[in-house]
Amino acid sequence: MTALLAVDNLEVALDTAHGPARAVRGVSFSLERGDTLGIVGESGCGKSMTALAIMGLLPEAARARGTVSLEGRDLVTLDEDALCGIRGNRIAMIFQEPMTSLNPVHPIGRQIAEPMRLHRGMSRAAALAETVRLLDRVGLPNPESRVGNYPHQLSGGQRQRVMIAMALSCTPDILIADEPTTALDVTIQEQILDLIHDLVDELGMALILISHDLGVIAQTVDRLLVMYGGAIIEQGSTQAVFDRLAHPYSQGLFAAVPKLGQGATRRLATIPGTVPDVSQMPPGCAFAERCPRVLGICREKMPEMTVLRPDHAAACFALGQTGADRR
Amino acid sequence: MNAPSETVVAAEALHKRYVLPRESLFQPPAEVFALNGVDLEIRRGRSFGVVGESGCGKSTLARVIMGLERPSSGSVRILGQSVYDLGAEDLRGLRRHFQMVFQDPYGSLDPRHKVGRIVAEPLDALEKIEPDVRRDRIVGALESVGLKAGDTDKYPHEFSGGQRQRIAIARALITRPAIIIADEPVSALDVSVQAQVLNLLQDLQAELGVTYMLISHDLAVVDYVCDDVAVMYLGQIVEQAPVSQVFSTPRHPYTKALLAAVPRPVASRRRRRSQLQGGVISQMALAVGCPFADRCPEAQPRCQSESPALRSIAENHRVSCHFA
Amino acid sequence: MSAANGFWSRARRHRSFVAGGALTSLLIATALLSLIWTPYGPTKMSLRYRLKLPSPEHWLGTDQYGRDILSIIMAGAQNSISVGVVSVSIGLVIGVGMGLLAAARRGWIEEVTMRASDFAFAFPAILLAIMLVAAIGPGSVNAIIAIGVFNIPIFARLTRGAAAAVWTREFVLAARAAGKGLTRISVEHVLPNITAVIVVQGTVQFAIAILAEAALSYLGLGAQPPAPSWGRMLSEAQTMIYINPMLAVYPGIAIAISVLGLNLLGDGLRDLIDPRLARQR
Repeated sequence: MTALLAVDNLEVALDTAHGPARAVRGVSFSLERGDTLGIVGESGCGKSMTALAIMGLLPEAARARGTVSLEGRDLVTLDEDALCGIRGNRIAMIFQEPMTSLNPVHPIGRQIAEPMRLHRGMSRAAALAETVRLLDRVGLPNPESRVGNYPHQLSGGQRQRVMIAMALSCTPDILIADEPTTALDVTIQEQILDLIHDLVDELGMALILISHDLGVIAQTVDRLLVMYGGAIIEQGSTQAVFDRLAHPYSQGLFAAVPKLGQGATRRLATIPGTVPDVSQMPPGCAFAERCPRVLGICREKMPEMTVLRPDHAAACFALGQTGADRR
Repeated sequence: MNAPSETVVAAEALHKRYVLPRESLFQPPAEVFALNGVDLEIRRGRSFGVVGESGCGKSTLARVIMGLERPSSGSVRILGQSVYDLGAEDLRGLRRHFQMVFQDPYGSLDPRHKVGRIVAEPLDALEKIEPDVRRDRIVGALESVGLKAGDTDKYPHEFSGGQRQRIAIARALITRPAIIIADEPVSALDVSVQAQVLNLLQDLQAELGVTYMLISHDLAVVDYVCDDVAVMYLGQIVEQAPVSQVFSTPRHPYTKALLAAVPRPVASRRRRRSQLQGGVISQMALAVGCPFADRCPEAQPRCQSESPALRSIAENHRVSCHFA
Repeated sequence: MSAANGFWSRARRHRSFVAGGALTSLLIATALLSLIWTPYGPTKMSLRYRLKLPSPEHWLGTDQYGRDILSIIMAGAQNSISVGVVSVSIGLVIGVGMGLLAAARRGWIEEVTMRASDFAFAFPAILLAIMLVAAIGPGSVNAIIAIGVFNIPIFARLTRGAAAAVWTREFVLAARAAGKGLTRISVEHVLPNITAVIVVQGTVQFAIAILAEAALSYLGLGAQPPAPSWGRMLSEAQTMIYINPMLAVYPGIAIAISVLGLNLLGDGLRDLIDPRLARQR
């Protein structure tokens, strides 16, 4: 049976002033209905580019190669019209900043109804009824009176709920959420993550959640990919990965996050240096310059994904050494 | 412990109201109640964190304490002197003792100035000094944040976000202030860069004896850098205690909910039912009774009618709740 | 500074900037050249050589007084540029000063300066210049003053808007937190960050000033005879229109080329500066 979404060796090249840059390098994963997948990494690691490539929303200066197939149908080679039929309909996306991803001059009711009228040909009245139902489902109080509201009349958390309602209006098969709660307060974040989760379960969708926040990822998704320098460097089930982080970057990232309750008892371990410029990637492993366990071979060849356990793999030449305990 | 240390910052009964532009000719303009009675005291050597979510007033508090916005009522004393009662000259002189670091590493540095000039700005504002002395101070400040003397002649755009934040910290250090007020100093930085800057803040605290007032929405950051913390909600402090106490035994229902909401990097898919529904109600009307009453899972009728005072329930631990 | 290097390499490739730059340079070069040499004295009359058509001795021919047209055109460039530079400078210095003051002080100072600007804006620019000259008398100097005056509100408005935006930025807050006063902040932080916008407007105003001077001279209110001026050439050519219409065309083309060149330059500068500002982050 073909997978719902199969990404195979996805490459995204960006035109920059210094020549072409490989923003996404050889990313492969697959997704079935009901799966929840997290993509973790810092800025510039290629996680957002991967999502945009799936949606066919890459900027002008970027080109995608490889395969992204939705139930067997390749999306990379599709023309714009066909992609429009898929966006919002089969795959939906929500973004980080709900204020800029909602049109400030249209009422929210209209924005939610738009995909429904576009993809499902619903009449205005039917779309309105469905909009009210959706707003209620996403937890917006008094939905009937809210349909005429403009984005600026709502709080950040409410706007994000509207975005979710919009994304779900055509019951897509896949929901991609790119840093959906980064701009929100932590108590609102909790509510939004709960909501996304419940909806994913209820509607049997697949979820791709992109975040830089290890805590959010740990508590929301079943499987995860860790990205660095455009490539996946560790992947597996959330349980397995967090139990024993294998890649030096993942370990470094985990050690660098201050943890509540620890106080200043332990100094935060830092990863020296900075992320290399996307257009000036060294040959070999992108993390070599900063890696505490770097070997000669790391600078020459890109490491392949090595399977450590049934649901845990990492791309590193220095895995023989014991992975650091997460405590 | 030691003898009681000097009070660096003392804020008393701070209120701040903003009047919004009129929306209608027939109604008085709306007001935003940003601070509703804040008292705090920061002692030398004990860094003080302020946490809270949007609308709690923490950024307003930072600006009022920095002397950038006059409070509607109340006073701010830095090293004993009342900031809003001083003349311009005296205030400028006092500023040597309190400096600020801002959130946005891209916006808080003038893109048209070289780094040396940016870092020396607080010195230049105060008094004329010899060029040699000035240069030495600039280099000293840059080196203490891990940058190099050669960076003096570069422009901000030549540096990364983390490095720019170090430049901002160097600027705050150059007058050797007693206290640095840092408003979300690491929120705009990546995780690994954030760790570097947090370690730097800790080191500076240990080596130079600088005290911080750290504003953050991120509780773990405050846990790492600060000794005491105040939790704010709708313009008031609802709980204040040493960091270890607040985070291990919170007493105020809001603090408990806030702590429970922070996602820990531990794999667990159990869904926590969030304890709070809805969001912060607007700050447009002064609440009668406890400002948290309508969202509080432990609210009683008394909470709606009677406003709880911030009272001590243990040494150094104050809570504003009827039932703590 | 790497941002500046990027600027020139992009500028070289920008068509408006290059074309505008070329035309403006032509204008300036002509004016400079005319300071030391013109084919003939621009005021030298000759009754024998009246109304000659273009020939090797007189490349553009002569007017009804026997004056060599090319020489007058070249000398007229001097006039246009000097009026343009001085009047725009007057407007810029005073207007920018007012705008900075208004943005820094806010309150009633801002209200007063901006309403005064609005008042000046209510009059069409040329009309205002004419009114002023009518009040103080004709002549080059007075024309400069009049044009300068109508430039003031333009720069005041522009500066106040741009400065107000800079005042909201965090590095200004940092300067206030460091203890810097309003004047120092205006000069050290605000002004350098709005220079680009002012320069672009300056080139546009220069073009307008040339047009305004031509209009005033056409009406006899600008440079008085015998000082050469394109505007007056136009008005003198009116009576000769059936005999030799080209007498009007030459100064018209000179004015058009100058204005076009400056406008293209201004457009080019604006395009080049905007993305550069964005890239400085």
